[in-house]
Amino acid sequence: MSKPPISSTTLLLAWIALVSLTIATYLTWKGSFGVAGEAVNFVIAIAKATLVTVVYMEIRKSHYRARFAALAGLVWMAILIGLVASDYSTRDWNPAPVFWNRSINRH
Amino acid sequence: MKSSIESHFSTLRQQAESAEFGMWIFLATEVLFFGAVFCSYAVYRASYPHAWKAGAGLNDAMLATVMTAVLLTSSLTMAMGVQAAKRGNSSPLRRNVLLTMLLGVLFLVLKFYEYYEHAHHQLVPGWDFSGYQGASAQNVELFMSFYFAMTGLHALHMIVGLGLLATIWVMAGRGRFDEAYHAPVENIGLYWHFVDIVWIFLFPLLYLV
Amino acid sequence: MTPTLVEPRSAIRESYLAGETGIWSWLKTIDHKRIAILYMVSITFFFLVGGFAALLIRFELMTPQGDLVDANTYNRLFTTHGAIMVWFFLIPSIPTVLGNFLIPIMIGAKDLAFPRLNLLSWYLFVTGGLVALVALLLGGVDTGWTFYTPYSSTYSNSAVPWLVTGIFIAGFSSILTGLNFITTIHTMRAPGMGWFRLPLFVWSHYATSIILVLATPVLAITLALVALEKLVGLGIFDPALGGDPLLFQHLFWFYSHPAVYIMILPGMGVISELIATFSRKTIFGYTFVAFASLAIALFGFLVWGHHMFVSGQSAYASMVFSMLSFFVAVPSAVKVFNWTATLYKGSISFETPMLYAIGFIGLFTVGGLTGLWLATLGADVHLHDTYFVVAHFHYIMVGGMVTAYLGAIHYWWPKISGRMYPERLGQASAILIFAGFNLTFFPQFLLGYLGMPRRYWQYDAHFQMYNVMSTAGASILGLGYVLPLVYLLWSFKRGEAAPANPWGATGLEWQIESPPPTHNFTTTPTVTTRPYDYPDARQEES
Repeated sequence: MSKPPISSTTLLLAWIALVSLTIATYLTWKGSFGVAGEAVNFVIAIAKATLVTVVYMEIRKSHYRARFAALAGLVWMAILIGLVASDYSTRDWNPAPVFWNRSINRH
Repeated sequence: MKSSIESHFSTLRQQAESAEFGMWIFLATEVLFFGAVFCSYAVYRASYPHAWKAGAGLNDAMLATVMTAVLLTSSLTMAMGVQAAKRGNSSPLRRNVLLTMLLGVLFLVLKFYEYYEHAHHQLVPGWDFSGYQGASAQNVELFMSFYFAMTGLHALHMIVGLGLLATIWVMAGRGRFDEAYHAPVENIGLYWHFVDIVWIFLFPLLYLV
Repeated sequence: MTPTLVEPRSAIRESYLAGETGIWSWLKTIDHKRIAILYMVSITFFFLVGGFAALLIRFELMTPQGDLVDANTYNRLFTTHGAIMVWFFLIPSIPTVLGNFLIPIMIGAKDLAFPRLNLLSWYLFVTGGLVALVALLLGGVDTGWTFYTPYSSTYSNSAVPWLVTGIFIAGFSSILTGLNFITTIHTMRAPGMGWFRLPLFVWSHYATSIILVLATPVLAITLALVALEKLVGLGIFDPALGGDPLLFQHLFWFYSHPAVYIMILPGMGVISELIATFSRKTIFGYTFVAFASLAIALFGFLVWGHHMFVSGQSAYASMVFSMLSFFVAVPSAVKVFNWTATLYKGSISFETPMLYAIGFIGLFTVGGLTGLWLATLGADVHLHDTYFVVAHFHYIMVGGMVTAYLGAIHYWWPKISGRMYPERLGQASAILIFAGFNLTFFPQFLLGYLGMPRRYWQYDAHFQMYNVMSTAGASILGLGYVLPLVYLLWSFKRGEAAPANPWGATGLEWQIESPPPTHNFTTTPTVTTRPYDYPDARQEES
């Protein structure tokens, strides 16, 4: 953890980037681009979070096991969301989707 | 050199690395803590896209943009505080921690102003939701349940963070930190940045649908 | 301090039990060994509370009519039994008592990485427990330990918010314990104690801690949302607002299925130690057993949907969950086969801990294999919510974890207390527990197969014979649990003084005095051998 402090310039640049991205998000929403705008805003949120993690939380300078912990949090959240989605995205598949029936009828 | 090393560690480095790792594990825990709510949010957003749009329309995106900027600035001052701590400079550390706290309080004031506005417009689920008369009112109320649960949870983390920062401020005043020992400052910094990241996601999810 | 007459073994260093005495010195201790004792006392108390509820349940079920208690009371009894046993006994049992006591010593450290956090965990645990007891005093909770919405959030008139709050607080105790263990195992290992020199007990606690840290927060927030729904009307799971009660089940089981592995993995770690010691052999396939723990921890997160096969979950998701559930059997079987292979050609002796270990292998195998029936989609439709399920998870939790816990308590009792327990009585109670357990729960497999549903206070008259058997078995089991409680307490004062290494076992904990001194090691040990370095291993190497 005896990492050297980061320079004030880097910290400030990151802040400028973060605030600019925030304003960009607002403008994207103002422009009413529908789903595309929402997607862009989500990507911007990921970019901002990455900036904070890399510059302010100095994750690249931390010990590998700290990075493992952070990664584990994200992977496990993905497991939660992914498997929950496997239920909700297929609940309406009753009766079985057409492409399944097609493959059965071939016999 | 103060003896800031506890008896069960053999080196200060081991102690600092343990503290840092412990904090990151805690943050992983927090990811799952918020993750469960994000997951629920995603399920319903996929089911009720129109209600979600109507619900987000009840919130003030301009105000949220300002709040986001306030919080991001508090992350900057926090990072500068950590920088000062690493250099062993006590007075910039205290100054930056104080600034961070002020910005945090400003954020909470804006947040509670927003809650007040919602209460005023009768938009509080479970209590009085008669302020919304548009289509699919139930689903919009569900959205607002998420709004209050998620921002409330975030605000609670902010309040805890303010308490921790106050502790750091007092400890720094007593000269507890130096170039070698400043793990608590770094750890509280990590926590503060994490809470900031949560808001970075709440902002588009609750205001910009 | 007044000088006292000391025995030779304590001539050099004072044991952790001596030194400061008095209740206050215990309540503010940050010594991991003393905190372990605090946990041992607390979870024993909760075990007795949960056990008392179980006894009432079994007595009610002796007859087909609801004559001892009414339906309402019965619901509260099984909720109390389930919630108290799961969160206030099984989950903390081996990790907080033996994990706390042994992990630092096994890896050659003076304490856990965060001793004060460890004490805080205990205080959180006790606070959570007291809040849960308030719920009982207010009349109890009738939702079952699973708190399914919308019953828990809308319709139930019982003290749901209290119990849920208690579990929420205890959850943070779990999280902090897991965090402490993971950090300790990473950063506090003695020189030479590489990852593949760690005892398997430590590996299994590492895997357990991963689950504690990554699953518990989801339970905490989910229960908090239920409480908010009940108290202030935030309707996250409320069907009236378009909410989905099944979403609650997803989130609940995302924690509660892995929680089953929180309850069994530490037990598996214990068994690995016991089997090696009492067959005087190095464990067969050490690396496989170590990685099997991690594999169970990971796969355990991918299977929760098998609790929801008949809930209205998508049939296609159910297929995926069913298939994934079968994968968990692989690492579990790896462990069972490796233990068996370790026994092969070992010089086996049957002291009390070994009796428990052998019992564990058999009971866990039965519990695990019946789990495969339940993971099978078609079979589960018939068996779901019957006594088959009850029998299955009691074979894992009681036949597995409680058996392992008792085996561990006996095995490390000389180290913890500095005294030997009476061997004959120990063996007798181990056999009594094994017999009583099987008589209690095996008939329940048959009951469930025949279609007796769980969670009812009355049943059809033709199920009575099996229920009487089960109640008789529970009485034997109860006696089997009281016996160790009595003779262990007795031996704590009167037992024969224990040598440093009564079993001739390997491992750092046996290299220091019994009971260990406050700081465990005067000089940090340097590790030069693999674990389980018994003569057979040395022969192979030479």
